[in-house]
Amino acid sequence: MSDALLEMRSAGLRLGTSTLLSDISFALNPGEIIGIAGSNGAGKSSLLQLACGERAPSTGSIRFESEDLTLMDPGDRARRMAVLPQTMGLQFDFTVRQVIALGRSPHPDMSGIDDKVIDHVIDSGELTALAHRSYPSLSGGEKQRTQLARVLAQLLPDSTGVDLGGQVLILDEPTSAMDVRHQERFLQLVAKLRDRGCAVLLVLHDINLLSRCANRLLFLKHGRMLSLGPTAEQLNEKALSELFDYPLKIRAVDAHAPSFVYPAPPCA
Amino acid sequence: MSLKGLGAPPSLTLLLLLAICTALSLGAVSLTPSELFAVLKGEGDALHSTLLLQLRLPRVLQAASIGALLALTGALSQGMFRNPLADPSLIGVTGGASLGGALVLTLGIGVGLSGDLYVSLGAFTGGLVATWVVYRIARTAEGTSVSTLLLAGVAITALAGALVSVLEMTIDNSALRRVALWRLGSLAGASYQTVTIATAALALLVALSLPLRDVLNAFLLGEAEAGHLGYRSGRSKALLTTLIAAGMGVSVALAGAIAFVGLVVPHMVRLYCGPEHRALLPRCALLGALVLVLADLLSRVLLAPSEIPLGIVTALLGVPYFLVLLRRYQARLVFS
Repeated sequence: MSDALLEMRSAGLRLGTSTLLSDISFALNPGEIIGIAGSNGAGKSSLLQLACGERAPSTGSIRFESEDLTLMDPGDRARRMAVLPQTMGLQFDFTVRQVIALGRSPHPDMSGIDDKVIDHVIDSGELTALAHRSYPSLSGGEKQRTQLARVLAQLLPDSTGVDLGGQVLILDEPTSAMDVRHQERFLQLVAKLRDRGCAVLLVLHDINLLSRCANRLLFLKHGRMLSLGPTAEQLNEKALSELFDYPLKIRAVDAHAPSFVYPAPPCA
Repeated sequence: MSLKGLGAPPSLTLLLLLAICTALSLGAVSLTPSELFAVLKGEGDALHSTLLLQLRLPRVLQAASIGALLALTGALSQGMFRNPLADPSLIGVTGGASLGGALVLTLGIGVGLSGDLYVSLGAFTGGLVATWVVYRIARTAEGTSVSTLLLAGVAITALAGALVSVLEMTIDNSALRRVALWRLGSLAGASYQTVTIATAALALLVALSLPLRDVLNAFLLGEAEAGHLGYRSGRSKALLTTLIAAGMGVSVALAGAIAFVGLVVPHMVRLYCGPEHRALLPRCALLGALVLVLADLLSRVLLAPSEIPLGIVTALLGVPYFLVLLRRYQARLVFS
């Protein structure tokens, strides 16, 4: 009997005649971050679409606790699982606060709680100065931080958010437009969420950033799982070079700092 | 008073009542306020009573309900397509409704009032069929693609326009004039019966669309995102499509093709109260009613005793506004 929150068993996804994903199996446990890495078009976003129930698998199954994810009530699912997609077009003049408040939609109106949660995520996301700005006028990084705050507002059951066991967070490239400071703040945030029991499925192109927060890494290539294992084991030059079809090296900076992956171009 | 206060539902209601009284007073024969209130109290002279109660009152009430229908349908359409420039006619409803109405006119089914009702029914059915066809074309196993929906709407509109032109070649001059006037939009055919149909449709649209305000807000983030927030996107979209088709079908059927109200009014409201649908929908209904009552008044008095078709008045007022908007959103798309 597994206590996994989200479990894929031989899941595959076909669209027309093309196979986007095949034979994906993993179990995401409470208090764990699984990082997904792979080159462009490897199927990372498709995998996240399966994981959040946006698409139904063509083969295999996906379970949330013991329930079939695709049969789950959308409201129940939204109270347990928050999703941040890669692109977020919003052409209407919502304020930052209004966008974040949309994250509370799945929750029954608990008097006062919503406002407290929204204030909390605005404050912790350093968005206070932007709260009344129009969303379309923001920079790319500010938009990402706003959307991240919206997803957090959906995830947190209350403003303390102490116990997040049973909650799942799915993030697709959440930091691609953020500056270094906000990338670091992001790493601290997901680590805190994990420590409180939240399960996180995370796609990041920056393998260094990903390996600093993920407990396990899932390597995806051409829609198939190359390997899945603890981050320390997955981070080896041979596996990484095979994953990205490019020679990569790893340097341990010192005993306390994380090892650093860098490209080593083949000599001409 | 601030623009926001002026645009709040109580002051909009007051402005609407003022506009209705003005529209009732002015025309080929104008009434003073005391004459108007005398008739409304049942004490006016016979000519004024007939003019007001048989001709102007149904027409002004019709303008108010059709205006509210158009603006509300426009807001729903822009929300569903997540595009501030999405006009309800883009999904093919107006084209389909015009074709349905023109077909009945050509066949010459019924005379007098029953004829008008058949034409209305034809336009309503045409609008629903067109929307259904477009929806079927755009629907895939994974959901409905908004861009396919829009492109299919463009195609259906072009096809319906061509077929209406073919129909026009087969009919006699008097029928041709009716089709042309009806395609341009006019409230001249308003009666208490058509007012009843319009207000019933409006009541239904209000009752069914207000509960959708939250899902519409989520829709603005994206279809998939609305799903992540716990809404049944597919079901909401089917309901929205039906409501948009019904709203446009009824308004086209009863008043012909009146352009730009559904596009411009939701914009004006968003300018002062933001895009949140809880505030947007009721204000759109009220401002839409106000705008069309005033536009119809203009259509009656500008070249009195001749009448300018209402659709031409709204186009003349709406097109400059639309072009300014287009520029504004284009700038935003370039710089964001």
